[in-house]
This record gives sequence, C-alpha cells and structure tokens, in this order.
Amino acid sequence: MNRPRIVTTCLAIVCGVVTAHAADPPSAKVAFLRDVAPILLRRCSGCHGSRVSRGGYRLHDFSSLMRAGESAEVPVVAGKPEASELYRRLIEKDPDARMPREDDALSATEIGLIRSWISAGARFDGTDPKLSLRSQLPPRSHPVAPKVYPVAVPVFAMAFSPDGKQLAVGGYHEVTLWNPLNGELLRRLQRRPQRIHSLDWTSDGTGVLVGGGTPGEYGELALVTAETGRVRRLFGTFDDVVLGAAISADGKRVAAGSAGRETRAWGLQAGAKGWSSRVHSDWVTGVVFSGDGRFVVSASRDQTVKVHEAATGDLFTTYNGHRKQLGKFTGRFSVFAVGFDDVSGRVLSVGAGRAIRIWDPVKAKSENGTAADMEGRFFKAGHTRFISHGFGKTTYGLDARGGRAWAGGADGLVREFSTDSLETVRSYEGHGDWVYSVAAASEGGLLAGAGYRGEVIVWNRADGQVVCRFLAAPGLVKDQGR
Amino acid sequence: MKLIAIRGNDVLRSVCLVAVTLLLLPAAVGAAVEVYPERVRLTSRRSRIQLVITSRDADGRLRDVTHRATVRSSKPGLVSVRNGRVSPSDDGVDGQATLHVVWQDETVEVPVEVSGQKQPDPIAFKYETLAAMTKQGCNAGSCHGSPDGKGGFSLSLFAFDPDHDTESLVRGGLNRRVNVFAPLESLMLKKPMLRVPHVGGKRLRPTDAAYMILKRWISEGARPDRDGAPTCEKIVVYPGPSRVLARPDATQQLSVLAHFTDGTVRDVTRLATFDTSHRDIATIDADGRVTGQSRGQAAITVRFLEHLESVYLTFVEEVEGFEWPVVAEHNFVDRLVNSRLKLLSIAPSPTCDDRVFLRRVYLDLTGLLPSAAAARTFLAEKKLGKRARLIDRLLATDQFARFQALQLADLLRVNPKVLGADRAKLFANWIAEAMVTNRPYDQLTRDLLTSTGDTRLVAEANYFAAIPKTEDVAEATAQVFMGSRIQCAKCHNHPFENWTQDDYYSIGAAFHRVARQADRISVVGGGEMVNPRSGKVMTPWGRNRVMPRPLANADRRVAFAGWLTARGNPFFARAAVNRIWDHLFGRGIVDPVDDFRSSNPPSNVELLDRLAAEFEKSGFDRRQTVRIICNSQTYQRSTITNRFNRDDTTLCSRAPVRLLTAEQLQDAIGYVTGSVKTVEQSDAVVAESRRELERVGEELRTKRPQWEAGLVERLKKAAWWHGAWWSAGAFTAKTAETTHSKDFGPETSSGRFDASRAFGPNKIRWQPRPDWNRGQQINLPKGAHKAMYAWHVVHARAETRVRLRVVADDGMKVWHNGQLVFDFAQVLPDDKEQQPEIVLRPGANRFLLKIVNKGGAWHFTWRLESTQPDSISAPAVADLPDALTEVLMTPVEKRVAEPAARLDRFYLMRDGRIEKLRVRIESGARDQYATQRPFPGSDAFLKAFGQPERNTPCACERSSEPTLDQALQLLNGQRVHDQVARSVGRFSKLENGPLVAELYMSAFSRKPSTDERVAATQHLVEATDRNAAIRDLVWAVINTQEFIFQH
Repeated sequence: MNRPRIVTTCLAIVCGVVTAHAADPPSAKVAFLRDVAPILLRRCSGCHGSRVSRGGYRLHDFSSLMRAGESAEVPVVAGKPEASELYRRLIEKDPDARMPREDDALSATEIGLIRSWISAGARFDGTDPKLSLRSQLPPRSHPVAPKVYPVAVPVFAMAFSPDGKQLAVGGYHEVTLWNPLNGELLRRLQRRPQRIHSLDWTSDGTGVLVGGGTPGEYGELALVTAETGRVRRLFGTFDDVVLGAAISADGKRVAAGSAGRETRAWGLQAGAKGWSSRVHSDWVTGVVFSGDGRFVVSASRDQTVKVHEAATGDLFTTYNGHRKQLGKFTGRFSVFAVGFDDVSGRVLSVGAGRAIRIWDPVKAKSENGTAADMEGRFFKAGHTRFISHGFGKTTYGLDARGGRAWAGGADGLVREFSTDSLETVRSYEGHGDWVYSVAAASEGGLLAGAGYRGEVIVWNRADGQVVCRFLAAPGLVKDQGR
Repeated sequence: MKLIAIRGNDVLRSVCLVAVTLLLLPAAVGAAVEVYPERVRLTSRRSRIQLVITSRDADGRLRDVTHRATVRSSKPGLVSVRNGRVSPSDDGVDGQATLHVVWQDETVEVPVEVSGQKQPDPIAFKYETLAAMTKQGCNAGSCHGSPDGKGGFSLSLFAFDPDHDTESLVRGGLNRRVNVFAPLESLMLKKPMLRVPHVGGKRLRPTDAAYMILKRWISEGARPDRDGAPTCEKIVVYPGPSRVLARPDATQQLSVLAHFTDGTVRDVTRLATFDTSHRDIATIDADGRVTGQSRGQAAITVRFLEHLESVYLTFVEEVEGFEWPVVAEHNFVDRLVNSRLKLLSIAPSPTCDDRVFLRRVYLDLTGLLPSAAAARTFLAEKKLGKRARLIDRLLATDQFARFQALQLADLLRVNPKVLGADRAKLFANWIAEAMVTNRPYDQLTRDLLTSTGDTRLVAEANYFAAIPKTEDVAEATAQVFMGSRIQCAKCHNHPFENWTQDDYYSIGAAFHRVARQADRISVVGGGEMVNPRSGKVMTPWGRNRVMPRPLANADRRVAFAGWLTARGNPFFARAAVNRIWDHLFGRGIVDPVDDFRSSNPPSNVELLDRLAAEFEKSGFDRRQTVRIICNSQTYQRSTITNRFNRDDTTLCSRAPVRLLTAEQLQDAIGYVTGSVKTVEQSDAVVAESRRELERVGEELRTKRPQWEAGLVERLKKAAWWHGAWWSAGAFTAKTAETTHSKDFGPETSSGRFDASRAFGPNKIRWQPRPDWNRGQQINLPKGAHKAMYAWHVVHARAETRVRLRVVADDGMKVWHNGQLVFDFAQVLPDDKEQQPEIVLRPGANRFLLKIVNKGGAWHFTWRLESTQPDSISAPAVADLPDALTEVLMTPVEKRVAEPAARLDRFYLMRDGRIEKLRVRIESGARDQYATQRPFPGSDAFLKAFGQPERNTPCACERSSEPTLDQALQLLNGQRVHDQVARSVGRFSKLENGPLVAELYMSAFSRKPSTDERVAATQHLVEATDRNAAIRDLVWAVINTQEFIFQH
C-alpha cells in the first residue's frame, strides 16, 4: 500500500542529490523509514527515546528527531550533513562527544546511509511525524527457519485446526503443522517472526493467525494460508512481541496484544478499520473474544484483565480480581492467560496465584466502581467463581471449551476442570518441565500441551491416555535434556 | 569461624602494615623483580592467570611493573601472554613452557604447565555467568537486584540465590531473555549493549570479559550448574593485605584467585568486582588495575560473589618544600598520628592557644562553656602542666559523667515515647549513675545485655524494653557495641562485609529467649532461632563465636556478653575507643563510628589498635582513654591549616571546626545570657538541698515505727482487709463465648496460685500487681476475645457477711475459695440486685477473678461491701494500698526485699518535703542543662540542631547538617529571643567596659580585641535605651560563627 509513496520519495531523493551535494554517493535508494529509522532506533533510542532523553534530545518520533535538545544545536539541516549535529556527533573524533557514547561507533555503511539521507533533503516518508517511528517501520522480512533445529525451541503457542486433524505449533521463525495422532510433520509455514507466541485458526480451517516477534523490539500479527504459508494479510506491527492473538467466533475480527503493552484489533475483511489501546501498564499476555464477539478481553502482567468493546476499542471495564485483599483467594498476581467458556458465557483468567477466575464482563462492570470501598463491595457481591487448580507455580497455558477448562504451567502439570462444578476432572501426565501452552481440539477430543523443552504431548481427553509425543523441532529427534 | 579468620587478618594486616612501613625506611640493596604467582598452572582451555610483577627498587620502594615489564613465552604456540595475562593457545595441546619476565636488567623465569586442554570447559553458571552479571552490575540493589527487580526482570542481590536467577533468566519472562538458536539475539545481551532500549543504560561491551562468558553460556544451552558442582571456598587477593606505593607513577595490578572445593584455582581477576573507599585517592578499573590519584590511604574491596577481601593501599608522594616541623609528642597518640602524617607528607598544625584549648576541652568533656570566672582563672594560671590538671579536674566532675550519659542514652534509646516517662527516667538515671561512678565499660555492657526483671524497678532491663524484637536487639547490640551494621544480613548475605545471614541469626539466637511480658523482661527455657531462608536452627553466637553446645537452660546472653567483652575481642574495645575519638575529633578513626567493615578502613590502624589495647589494659576505663587523647598534642592542635595539611580531614593533622551539638548550643546560650545558673551556683543549691533531705529523712525514720504500729492496730480491728493482687493473662480463644467458658488453667488446676506455674502454650505466669486496688477501676489493654485472671486474698477477722460489688466491661466470673459465686457474661452495671452476698470465713479467703473482654474497652472494678453496719473498715487505699497492706501485715523478718522497699518508698513519699527536695536537687542542678540530662526534654530548638529521636541505635540519628531552620532559630527563634531578653538581668548592672569583657569571656573564653571593645562600648554609649543595646550585643555575640562553632 506504500508503493506509490515510495516511488515519489525516491524521485524526490534523486532530484535532491543532484542539486545538493555532488560528492555524495548515489543515494537514490535511501528511504528514511526503511533505512535510517531502524539504525536510529537500534543505536540511539536507548538514551534518546520516549522514556530516557539524555541531553534533552529524543528521536523516537520524527518531529522530536528534528527538534534540538539542550545544546540548541540543530540536529538535522536538510541537505547539509556537516551542519547537522546528529551527523557531526556520529563522526566526532573526541570519544567523549562521539555518539553513541561509551559504545561502538556506527558502521561506515550506517553513517553513509544517514549522511545520504540528510544530503538528499532529510525527507520524512512516514504518515505522521508525531507518531512513534517504531510503529511506522515497515514490517520486517524474516529469514527461513533452520532446516534442522540444533536444539528444541520452547513452545509458547499451539492450535488445533477446526477439524482437529492438524496441530499448529510455534517454532523458530516458522509455524510447524503436525499430525496430532502420530506426530508426523505435515508442513512448515516459513519466514515468520523469530518467536511465535500466539496461534489461532480461521473457522474454515484455511488460515492461521500468527502472532509473534523479536523480544524487546518487534511484534507482528499476520494471517497466513495454512496450505502454503503465504501471507494473506499482515495486520500490523508492534513495539514488542505479540503474546496473545485471537479470531472472533463469527470470524469477523482479529485482536492481538503485545509485550509493548498495546492491544489492537482489526476487521478481518479488507478495508475494515482497526483500533489500538494502551490501557495496560505491562505486557499484554493474552487476548480472547467473548462468545458473542462483543468484547475483546486482554490479560496483562499488570495484574488486571481489561474488557474492550470489540468494535471501537473503548474500555468497557477492568477486572481486578487478580489483586484482591479480601475474600478467599487474596494476593496480587500477574495474569498470563485468558480464555472464554462458551457454555457459561464467562471469561476465564489465570496467572500467578492458586486459582482460575471465572467471571462475567457485564457483571464485573456493575460491581466495579470508583468508590473507596470498591474492594469491599466487590468482595461481598462478587460473582467471580474460583477453580482452585492446585498448581504451586504460575499458570501460563489455558484453553476453554464446552464447559471444560484446561490449564498448565511452571509445575509441569496439565489438568482439566469443569467450569460448572469447579472440580478437577482429570490430570494429564507426562511433562517434566514448564508448560507454556495448552490447546484443546474442538473436534476429535484431543488435548495438547507443550512448554520449555519443546516437546508436545497429545492426550485423548476421553481417558487421559497419551496419544503421541514428539519434539516440535524439525530434524531433531532427541530432547537434549535442556 | 570465618569471622575469626577475617578479624585475625585485620590484626595481621596492621602488623604487616607496620612491617611494610618499616621495610620501606632502610634502603634495600639493589633492585629486584618478583613475579606472582611463582609458577603458573593452566588447567583448562579457558584458564587465564594474571601475573603481578613487582620491582623492589634500590631505595626499597615497591613498584608495580606488570604492564611495563616484558614477558616472553618460550613456546608461543602453547602459551601466550597479553597485558600480563597468561593463557593457553587455542590449539588444545598440553605441555610445559617458561615465561621470561624482563624488567630493566633483571630476568625472572616462571614455569608454566598447561593441562586439560583436550577436555571441554563449559561455563559454570554461578561462578562465571552470575559472577559476570554481578560484575556488570545487573543484580545491584538499584537495578534488577532490588526486591521487585526492574522492568519485570528480577535477579537476587549479588547472585545470592542462583536458583532464582536461573529461573528469571531462562524460563521466566517467557524465555525472552535467552536465545539458544542465536545467542547474540538474546535480550540479556542486546539490552545491556543498548541494541534495544535499556533503562539501565550501556552495561556490556564486546571487550568485557563478561561478554564472552554470557554469550558462551547461552550457546551452551543456558543451563544451571549440575548438582555437586565445586563451590568457591575463598578468594586470595595479591598483593595484600596492604602496600605503600609512591606517586606519581603509582599503579598496582591486582590478582584475584578463587579456590574451589575440588582443589582447582581459577583466576577471577576480570570477574571480581572492585570498589574503592576513596575515589579521590585511588581508582580501579574493571580489570583490577589500581591508579593512585592523590596522597592517602584507600581500601580496595574485592568481591567475588559472597567472598569479600580488602587491600589497603597507601599512596605517598614527594611534596615540594615539605619539611617535618618541630612538634611536641606527648604520648603514643602523637607518635602514631605523626608517623602516618610523615609518611604522607602532611605537616601538622601547631598547638592551640590556652583560650582555644579551654573552650574546646570544656565543651568536649562537660558539654558546657567555662564560666567567665573559670576562664579567667585558667588563663591567668602560670604553672606548668595546667592543661593536664584541667583535664583531670573536668574528668572528675559530674558534668563530664552526665554529658557522657547523654551520649550513651542516645544509643540505648532512652525514649519516653517508647518506655514511658517513668521507665525512661529510671533508665537514664541508671546510665548517669554508671557514668558518675565510672563503671568499667565491659561490666556496664554485661549488665545491660544480661538484664532481667521488672523494667519499672530494674533500670537496665529497659535495654530490652526499648527494642521490642529479637532481630532488632541483635542489630542494635551489634551496632552499639561492635560498631557493625549487620542489618543487611537479615535478608541476604551482607554485600559489603563478611557477615552472612547465618551470622545474623546466630547473634539473634543469643537473644531469642528474651521474653517481654507486661513490664517484665525474663529469659524463657525454650525456643530456637531459625534462619528463615534455609530453615536451619541457629546455634547462638557466644564465647567461641558460635557456642559449641548451648546448655538447655543457660541464659545464652551470658555467653554472648562474655564473648563480646572478653579481652582481645576484635570489636568491643575498638568500637568503644572509636566512639570516644569521634566525640573528641568530630570524626571516628573508623567513620561512620558504627560501620566497621573491611571495605571501610580505619584512617590509622595502628592508632586504633593501640587505643583499644590501652583501653583493655585500663580495665575498660573510658575516662582513662579520654585522658590519654585529651593530653595528646594531636587533640590540642590548632584549627589553623598550613599548605601541607589544608586538605586533610581524616588524619588529625589539625583540629576540626565543629558546630556545637543541639544541647551544647542551648546550654551555651543559657550560660551567656545568664538565664541558666552556672555549675558553680547550682552546686551550692544542690549541696544545701542534699543536707536538708538527709535531715528530713532522719526525722521520718524516727517516726516510722509509730506509723506502722498505728496502721497495724487499725487493720487488726477491721472486719477484713485486702492483700496483694496478682494477675495472669491475657488468654485468647476463638470466640467471646468460648473465652468466657473455657478454663485456661487457673480455674481448676491444683497449685494454681503458684507464681512459678505457667499456663497455656504462651507460658503465662502470675504477675504481681502492686498498682491494683479494691474499689478502683482497673483498665486492661484493649483487644478482642481476651480473658484475664486475677486473684487476691481477703483476711477476715471473723465470719462476715459481705456483698460483692462488681463493675465489668464485658463479663466476669468470681470464685470464692474455689466456689464459683458469680458468673455474668454481659457488661455489668453497678447494680446491687444482681450481685451476690457471700460469707467470709475467718482467716484467709482466696478470690479468683476472671475478667472477659469481647472487644473495645476493657476494665473492671471490684470491692466488697459490708452488710453489717457496725463493722470497722480497713484504712483507705490512699492511706495504704492493698499490696502494701500485705507487706505491713507480714512480720518484718519475713518481708521480701522488693515489696518492703516499696513500703519504705510509700512511707517516705507521704511527706511532701521529700519530693520537693528531690525535685530541687535534680532540677536545680541538672534539668536546666540540656547537656546534663540523659533523659531528654525536647523542643523546636533542640530538634533544629539535630537532637536525635532515639528511635535507632545509629549514631547517625544525631544530625550535624546545617539547616535553614537552625539559622532561623538563632536569628529570631523563641528560645533565643527569650533568653536574650533575660540577659539584661545579668549585664545591666555592669559598667560598659566590664560588661563587654564579661560578655566576651563568657561566650568566647577570651578578652575582646580593641576593635571589638571600642565598637561594643560605642554601641552602649550611643544607645538611647541601654537595655536594648545590651540585648543587641548579646544577640550579636550569639550569632557569630565563633560562638556556634567549637574550634
């Protein structure tokens, strides 16, 4: 969609070069967002970003980039790199004045790109100079996954295809599809983000929603074709890894949340507008739609679960049941997983602590309030139901369907619970290390659990027996005992 | 055990320091080169050894030439050397080689043995990965080592909990911090290298030793240590423990070797953390290379995870034109101070004037200014040795003792807000008494630390009452008497000292059995201190550090106090003399005074050791230590600097200028303005009152038998009289109902009135209640669902019918001679109808009461009312309280000492004169002086000038920081204003000339200069209102720097 603009920018740059600085190398290809912004973000924004601004200078968005810091030196003079403080500081000889301070200098190529961009007129090719640069960077192109994995990679995401015959598993720069009955590798959906933290299938079984990214710097949400791995639609990029993503039951919307504290949603049909919300103060760890598609519910390490209107992104209510001082399950806990039970019509949320919370967004709102006695009222009127899961450590994996919930976590235990009786129905044995992901098939009655060691165990939900177990690491047969 | 070694080290260190210093003085013969270590063993592929090459120059000085000497390897293919670091080549070959170390004309050969090159050499998680992260500062207290971590990433402080750290790094944070596929993609590398924004900034560079270790650890699979991996036993730092180096060319490469339990030794120089105590004197880089920046001594602290060692480096330099001046040396203090000054080319200031000395020594020893009269006498005196005589005279005064008591009371937290006014006063007076009699400090300490008893009577037991928790007692005791701040070790091993968590709880174990019940401090027979992290039961700290086999019933504090106050204890005497030094010089030899640790070196080790030794030799006589120091030329130096000692603040080459303390200043203002009597005047009043008190006492003693006989006669005639009260409680049960109905023990058990019996799991005993009386409302501490038992005896002359009259909130039960006569669960009004009649039998009648509270207020009133109109009643409580009635009716020879003493007091206090005289004796002499009151009065003025609240055992609670409030107080504070106004009374009678002279002599212990006299006199002459002019003068004098500072 950016193509026409790039062309015009390129034209402008070409013209600029001719008039500005004959000595500069040909720089027709230098584009700010593609070539310059990533360098600045990687090497400079640690000290000159939104949170820290050494010397009063920031460059996390374009308008800040162009504004002088405390020194009052103009950072960028279009067409004149030698007069631009930003450039001068990069080539400075005095190690105390050279940027990045106390770090290696930028490479000659990087400096050359910045010089060329300034020489060519320092044009901004983004949409909004006040919007953070990171959010305007074009999506990254990802490398091919290693043909043979040297070691297993921790599995954070799994999803059964609607017919229950394929199991999508998050890999390293890829999504792998397996036959859950025998552990046979069916296909590899390549060139995906480095870490895959969330997966969901379209209801027709042709597409897989893939959320992931590179920790600390990049996140991405895309819908890929399950047969070919071709990207059907890339919804958007994030500041940090996408940890949770979901498709609504009616198939009309997708939503995702990232470690960059952002929750976003899009209409699945082309042209539908999306929204972004930054109401969490820590990682958004999981996202789920309510059964009727009205709400997007996001869990966070900030100890809250937020309920958004799916259509607009407006905050409907905040569920504070994971930080309570009164009642049976008290304490302050990060939330790591969220699910929705279609039978009771309630949200399930879990993380640290001793119980899964089951609650209704609408009732939660009516019980919420701003009065000082909120907690007291909530405690008295609380409609939240608790499944005491019996795990001793944090729970990371959760799935819910048909009145049942499955959960697993750092204990290595996977258990099935009834959302009605709140009892433990069954324990699924076999994992000896942290479980990060639990997935239940809607057809075929299978359950899968996987975690740190990269081993997937598939159970039959009818009897709890292991159907098969395999390392979700193409080419690697034996677990190396990590 | 560890501590012995370290403290032993300290002693050794000081010996060595002397030895080193001595060695330096005679010229050594020829230059020589020494290489450390003498032979190098490279036992694994990543083995590295840092060489330290020292040249001993012709003049005997040591010089580090590690980075200047040439080092050649005989087999470069096997062993290579860079920057003095020896490493095997990467070829994986074992063998032997020789290093040739060449410096000037000397060559030293160092054999090298290379082995283990064929075995893999994986990264050790704790000793390499975590050490590397510690080195880079990741787990520092202000970063991810803080209790909640930073940015959602938490590490244990300085890696004391590797299990926590491995979880945080690998599995926690959704595995985002390590990437085994592509180690360089790991967030734990990208963040500190600022490839991704990092709030903590740039922390890691590819050139850092840590970089390779972290990268390699990730690529090896980011695994924790296998079980049974060798652990580090100790680190050895070379050179140590101290060395003197000559500037300007003074650098020193350090070598740090870690010794492991499997016998291997690894060079961890590049993984150890270095700190310098004085950045202006010595700096050290990440690779362990020290550079001297200026003259002086610095401690370089080397930390490798939980191991900590310090090296003391002294840098000397030629100072142009420096010549040692002629100064008198009065005693060893001067000799030791001066030897350090000579070494560092610092010239001491000359001896101060008499007037400066007079004001200084008065303020330091008594807290008060010399009166004008005393000043004149001293200044006029011509005989030799007058300073020594003055010191002796002041040391013998009560003022000295009481001023000392004030300082000790600060540390022992004599705080009326905590103890209550009565007990605070009792405790304060005990401290003052100990100071007046100059009780040896070891004995005083033992008395405090092993005290038990009723804190209303046993003054020293308030030490424990002032500090409510066992841990706090351990911390306070260590800080006050050992000069050690062990608080950090409560939650984790001490980051700056070799105090471990186990040490902390071992000291705690010595005090764990101290019980505080109501007002009583006692030692219970059971209970063990447990280290909450490991769950291990701690053996109490005692005579042999940790007591070998603690006796089950022994008071463990005795062993601890014995260890602490034994001669040769590494802490006790040093901490005590250091406090005295601090008081006299405004700065401890170790500073802060209560922060002894190897990373905070004494400015003069020999001096501290010698003072401590003399202190022990004198029988822990604080007065003697003060005498020695005050008589030294060092103490008597002028504050005026010369060009060689201008920058010295630690070595006592000159006297410090100090702001008067809050109390000193308040008294000084009182003295000058005449609003406080001088000591001489007060002494006369006190002496007279003492004589009067004695006379009244004698008179009362003669009347005593008559008084007793009268009362006894009345009691014998009375129908009945009440004996003493006892109580036990509170007991708790789940609900109010069960609290009321349940027997907690005293109701039925035989021998239930036995004071030595304990009831319930909390071992509650009967406590005497001398303050409880019939007919008076008795308030009990609030709290839900509680029950309190009380019993007392009523002696009846004959069979008597009485009515029980009870008010209780909430319920009450009463047993009469074992028979339940009353049981009411509700709030009781004083209602005759509901209250029973009982028949007292002749002789003793035992009443047991149970008072029950459901919540809220809790009190009861209890009395017997005669139903026979003609019966004679016992004397009113005001005439004789119940408890004393019982004493009185006990034959004299059977009376117990303590209650008998109470009867004596009661008798004496009935006569109002006694109290009046006592108040006069106390207030007349003492209460008017802030410096003479160990029991503090407080006001805005004292607070502004840093009077401590006495909430902590830290000397730092007394602040000497200048504040705006202080300026305001002095300029126009209420106290200054009032006292200046009163000064008219003192000065108005004097002629102008004598007035000015008197004012200057009072305030500054000197005559006014001509200019001062002329200006002051002129002001008085020209004034229309002479009184106002006097006030102006006094106010101006009080607001001079000369007045508010001690110099």
